Amino acid sequence: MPLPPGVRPDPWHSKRPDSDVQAEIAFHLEAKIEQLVAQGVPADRAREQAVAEFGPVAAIAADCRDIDTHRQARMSRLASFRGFWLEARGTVRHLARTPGFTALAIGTFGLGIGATAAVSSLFDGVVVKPLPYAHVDRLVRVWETNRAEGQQEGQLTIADFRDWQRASKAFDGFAALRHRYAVITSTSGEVVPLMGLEVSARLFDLLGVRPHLGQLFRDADESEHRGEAVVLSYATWRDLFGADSGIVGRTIRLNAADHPVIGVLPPDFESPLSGSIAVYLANDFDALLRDPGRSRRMHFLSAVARLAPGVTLEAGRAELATLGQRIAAANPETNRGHEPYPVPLQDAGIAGTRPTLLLVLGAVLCLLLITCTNLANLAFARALGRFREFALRRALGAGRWQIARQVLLEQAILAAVGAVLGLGIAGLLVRLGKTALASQLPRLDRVAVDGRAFLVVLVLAAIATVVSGLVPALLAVRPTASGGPEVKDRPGLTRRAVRARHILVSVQAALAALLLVGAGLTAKSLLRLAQETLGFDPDRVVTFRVPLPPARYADQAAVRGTTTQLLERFRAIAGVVRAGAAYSLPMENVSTTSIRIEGQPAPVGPPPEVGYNAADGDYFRTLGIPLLRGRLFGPEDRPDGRPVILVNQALARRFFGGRSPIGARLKSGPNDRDPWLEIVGVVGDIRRQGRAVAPVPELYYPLAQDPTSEPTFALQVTGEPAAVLRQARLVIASEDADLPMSAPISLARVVSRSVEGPTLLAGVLIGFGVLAVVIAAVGIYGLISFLVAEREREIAVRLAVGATGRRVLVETTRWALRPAAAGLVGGLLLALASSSLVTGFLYHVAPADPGTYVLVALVLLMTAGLGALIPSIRASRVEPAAALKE
Amino acid sequence: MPARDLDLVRGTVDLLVLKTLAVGPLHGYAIAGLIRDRSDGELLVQEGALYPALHRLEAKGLVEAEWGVTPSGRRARYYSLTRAGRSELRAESATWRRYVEAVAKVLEPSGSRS
Repeated sequence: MPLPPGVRPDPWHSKRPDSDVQAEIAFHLEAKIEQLVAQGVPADRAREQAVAEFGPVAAIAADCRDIDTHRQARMSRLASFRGFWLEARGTVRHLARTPGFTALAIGTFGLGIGATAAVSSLFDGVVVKPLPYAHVDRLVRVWETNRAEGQQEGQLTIADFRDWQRASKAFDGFAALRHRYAVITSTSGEVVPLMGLEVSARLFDLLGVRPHLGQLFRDADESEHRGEAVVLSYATWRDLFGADSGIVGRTIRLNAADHPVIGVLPPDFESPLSGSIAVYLANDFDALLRDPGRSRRMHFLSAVARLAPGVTLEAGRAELATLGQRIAAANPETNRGHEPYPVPLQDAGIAGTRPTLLLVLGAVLCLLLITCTNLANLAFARALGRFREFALRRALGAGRWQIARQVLLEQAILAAVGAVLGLGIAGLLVRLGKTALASQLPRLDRVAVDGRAFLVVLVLAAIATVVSGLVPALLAVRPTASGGPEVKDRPGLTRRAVRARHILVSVQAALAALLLVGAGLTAKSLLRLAQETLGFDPDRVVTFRVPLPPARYADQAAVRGTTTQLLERFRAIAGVVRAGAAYSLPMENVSTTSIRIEGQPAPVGPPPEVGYNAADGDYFRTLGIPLLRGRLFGPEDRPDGRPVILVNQALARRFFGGRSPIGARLKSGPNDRDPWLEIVGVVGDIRRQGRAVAPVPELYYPLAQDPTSEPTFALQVTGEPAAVLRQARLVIASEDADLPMSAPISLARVVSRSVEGPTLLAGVLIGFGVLAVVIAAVGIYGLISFLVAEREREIAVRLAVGATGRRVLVETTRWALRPAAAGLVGGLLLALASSSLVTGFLYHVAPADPGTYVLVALVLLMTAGLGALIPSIRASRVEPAAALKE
Repeated sequence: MPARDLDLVRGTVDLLVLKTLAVGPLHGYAIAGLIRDRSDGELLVQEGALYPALHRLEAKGLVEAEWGVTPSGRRARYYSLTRAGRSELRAESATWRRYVEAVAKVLEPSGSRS
């Protein structure tokens, strides 16, 4: 802005607001006095008049200073932000000049952060995130241990549950639950097989849940809510009944009977037991109490309880233990070895999952650390390339922090963009993981990349910035030996740089070795597992269940008739080779019963327990379970005929030794009135609880004599399984329009999805291990390229005075192997020290398995050699003349 | 603009300062003199009140200030309109004129409405 003519600019005048204002007002007063004097006012009067016309000088000056101070504060904030913005923009421009490096760095950060965020979201959703109940810290799941079976988390009997409920003071409420098949007819007439829970009326009150519509079961007193009433889950209400707001008070078709709906649960309600629950039914648990023979023998209930306010879990556990002992003393026959076992609801059902997830979390953090060291290595190479610039800036007065900040800023920008990418990758991984792990992990529906995951990503990005940026930043600001900006030969720096990069490569090799040992051990376990024979052939077998609602299939004859009818019609479908039916399939929970064998003395203590199933003869043929002795079930095993059973080889061996059990008789169940069952055949053992679990003694009832209202059908097919299933569905519907086909699945899939101890872990560790090795190879490639470039002149001299290319090649490769080997030794020692962590995941493999360690060492050393190969070959081909001329 | 309406005097001083500066850069003393002369001494009772107004306008970015040395050799702070100041002046003058007209209409003797 031009000043008026005749006025010179005065750029050197002080900018401090205080002196500014004073000088400005002084000028005004002086000018005024001058004018007054010129008008003839005496000098002393002139000053007085000038001040009088001006007003209160001190107050006005103070006002002006206030305004100026505010303005300057705002401007300096703006200026520092602008400065930062300019620096960031410069860095972005700098990064844009090397798109290859930038893309590599962002991609690496994205992968590392994304994988870590995905795993931590998984861990958070399954283990950490509090369940959505009021007073969740007071809620416990109560199991009943079964010492004979070595089972910690067993189910309860109704008599025990009622005893605890009555006597406990430490808990202010108990609720029992059990899963029920729930076949619901939707508004559109579709028959949908779902899962329901039969629950104590007290449940919803204990969990502190309020209805979305209508009301929930209410516990008037200890007498439970019986009857037909049901409560719908929000999803069921929305999906099957079109979110009909008038549903309360109406009846729905459930398990072929009419049930009035009294309420709908809120959308965020989650079942306290695993799995998604469509409908909650009033209970009929106490029916068994009238049968004293079974009320303390049938373990079929789950239970949730709430600690009274101020009572600790330890106190509650102690009280229940005392109760359990008292009950066992009064009922030694049934309750010896059974004790109440409460665990916080938050931790219930994930006892086996938590260590797996923790290990996976450890592995992914390892991977993140490897990616960070790799990026530190890259950032370091870049900082080195700019050393001349840094030195110049320092010589011109830039502080260390300013230069370090620039290196860190570059990493921060890369990490920030990588974090955004990582969020996307995490979302993708979580989505994939939820499908892939659906049958292996509980509470997966709680897993989401949400605000909590975003926080984790922020923290990870900050960590990644510091870890990958700190070493290069520190090295960039270290003064050179001479202290000046002359950097041509930078001997001091080179030595430090090489040492730092050696350390980075060693750390990478160590972490890679650690991951690889884990991968190797679990992979070997998988191989061992794959060699175990299942004892049955799951190929080309499809299975499904047809729950027969008790409302319509009240007696055994009706159940048996329909099962037989369905089997015959399934066999007639084109493409079906064989069809069999059973009570339960391989990989499902095994039900157990106690047995007494005729002519053998009763053992001391509780009677032995064995697994049981019920099947028809064709079930064994369909699954390819071999008959070893005697015969399978046939038409001669009529409902009213002689009661017979089949036993597996494990049972025959354990209870009959070398003798043939054919013709021997046993009783299953506690009652003397129970009939003697004659063993007519011995069939092969099957690994029905997963490959990792050895077969247990098991017996089979003939379905004809012991029908089940929830028969599972197994069909061996030749054609397209889907077509066969379509036909079978038609058959079921034509038999009874209210019957659904529940959970159709191929047996091979049942086997593959069953929790096979180390599968998940092995998959993760192998994936991460391979990635780690690749990253380590890239790191070593970078190091050797750098060393070769640094020493090109030296190599040229040696080649010129007669060293062979071969010798140079060997030497440069040795440079690569030294840090890799150092890291390898460290990593193997670390693996050995921490191997006890994976013991629980291994199958017939020792945690210190020497073969695995040797293999890992070989793989890593070979990788290091490969990483060094290209730059080493380049070194051996250096043209001495050209290199020396430079 | 209710905030300005409440603070009629301050707004008026601001407007007068902006208007005065429309001719070119001036120091505070000259601004005070011009306002006094043009309004026959009616509007600016205390010259000092001008300075907080000037600094406030500077903080708002409507005027900018620069130190200069007067022909008589004294240092003085010269104020000039910024681009934002110029458009503020236009807008405020229009508002002021409408305001004056409206008040005048109310105050005029009844019956003269046309």
